[in-house]
Amino acid sequence: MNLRSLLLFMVYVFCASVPVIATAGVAVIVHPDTNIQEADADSIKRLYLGKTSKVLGIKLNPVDQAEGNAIRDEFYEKVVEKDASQLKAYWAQLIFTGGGSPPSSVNNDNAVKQLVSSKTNAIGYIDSSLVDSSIKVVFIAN
Amino acid sequence: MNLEKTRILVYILAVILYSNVAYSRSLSHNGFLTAGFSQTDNEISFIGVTDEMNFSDLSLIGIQTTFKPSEGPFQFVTQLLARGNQGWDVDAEWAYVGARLTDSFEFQVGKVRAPMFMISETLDVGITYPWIRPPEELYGFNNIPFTTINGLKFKYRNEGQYFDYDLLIYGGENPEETVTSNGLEYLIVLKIAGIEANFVRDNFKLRLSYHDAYDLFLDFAAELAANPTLATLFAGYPNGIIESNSTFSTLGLDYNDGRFLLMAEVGQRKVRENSTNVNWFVTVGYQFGRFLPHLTHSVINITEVETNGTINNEQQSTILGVKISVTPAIVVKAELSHTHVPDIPDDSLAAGLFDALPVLVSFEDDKVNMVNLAINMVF
Repeated sequence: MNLRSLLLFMVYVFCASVPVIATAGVAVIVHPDTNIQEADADSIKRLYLGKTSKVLGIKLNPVDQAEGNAIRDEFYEKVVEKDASQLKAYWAQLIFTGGGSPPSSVNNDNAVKQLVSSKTNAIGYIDSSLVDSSIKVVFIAN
Repeated sequence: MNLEKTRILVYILAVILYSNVAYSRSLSHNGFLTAGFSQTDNEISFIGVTDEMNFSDLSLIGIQTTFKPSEGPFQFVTQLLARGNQGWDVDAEWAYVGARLTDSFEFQVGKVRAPMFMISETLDVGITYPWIRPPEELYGFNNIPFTTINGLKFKYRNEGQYFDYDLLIYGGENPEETVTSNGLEYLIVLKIAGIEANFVRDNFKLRLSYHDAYDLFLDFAAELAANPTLATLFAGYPNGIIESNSTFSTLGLDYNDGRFLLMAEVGQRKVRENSTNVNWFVTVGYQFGRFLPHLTHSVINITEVETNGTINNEQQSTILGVKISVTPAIVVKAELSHTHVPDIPDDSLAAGLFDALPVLVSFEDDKVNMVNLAINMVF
């Protein structure tokens, strides 16, 4: 094996060892009957940080995804602008002061979709490639 | 931990476990833990640490249980805390009933945290701030000798056009409690009321507060009786009781955009007609991935000295530290600090925050370096 082949092999091994989890984007979704057509990132951020309970005047219960899900990390980095450690520290501040608790979470995109499609007061986020007519998209983060 | 407290802890844990079965949807448990190490290069104890390895001063564990009935605005919160430097005795740090009556208005009644500082509420939850030890010059017991009160807190929050804000009014008293300062044990008797305002916009927070400890006594009569040399130092207090009715005002700033960190806070404590001190710190840091290196300068500045003699705690510290996020729930921290007690002309009562009285040891122009290592966890 010459040097060039060895380098190519090493690049291949490196690339193969890096987990590549790509999503088409994060879609923030509500029930089709919920009276919101579009929401902005700041409103969604404030809702998921417990700073408000309403988006455009409508009271909504945010649904989170389980820690460790790639789509969860993507949502919090793109929309809420916090990484997992910053988010943990943020909620620790609120939990241990009686100031609030994080949104309840479900296991994955399908569970979010199922829950949001059955409740008009729920809001969640999923991989945008999984959007269908059972839910309504109000924001997309690419 | 004594037998009685162990029984209480076992009982509470049993209640929690039983309740968890009965009300699993309404009951939540959260906890935090710090395991740490401290050592100085000075044989005289400084904020509880000497030149011998100390694994107990920083270490603590806390368990918080919140019971929120499925209907109604109320919640019942208990936080049990055990500290290594108090022999791991378990105490109910918090025990209150709270209610959020509307989106804007809430209250708490019971044993609650005294909201003296910017991070008072999470003082024991190390994962929420950058340092291992919040700056002692401002946060130390020497400045404010209590952390909790039995009382009431009312909080109003709202969203303004340009910023969110909240206003908090509180009042209460401290159950008689013993604290140590400069190696001397005091019994505290306290009544206090105050107001706090927070203004938040994006990554920026401004905090203002004012507190009036209108009935504050520090009782060291027992120490005075046991140690006659104290009579000279505290000639103005022959009964061993210092009436320290005080006001305390603070201004705090916090900016954290996920990369750049700036924290600053100043507190002025005014003991009526006696003395005034202005204590402050500034912290800057920058997040590099998992690493948050930070630098702090922290000062005790006595601006008005009591005439009939008390210990002068002037000192300043520089703290260099790093906070490393191992996982979202676990951080490792390392810190080096350098503290200097200045040479104060014509003042033989300088002691900084050394745990000894200046009649016994001279601390003027003294220096102390400290190393701290800690793991903080929430669960």
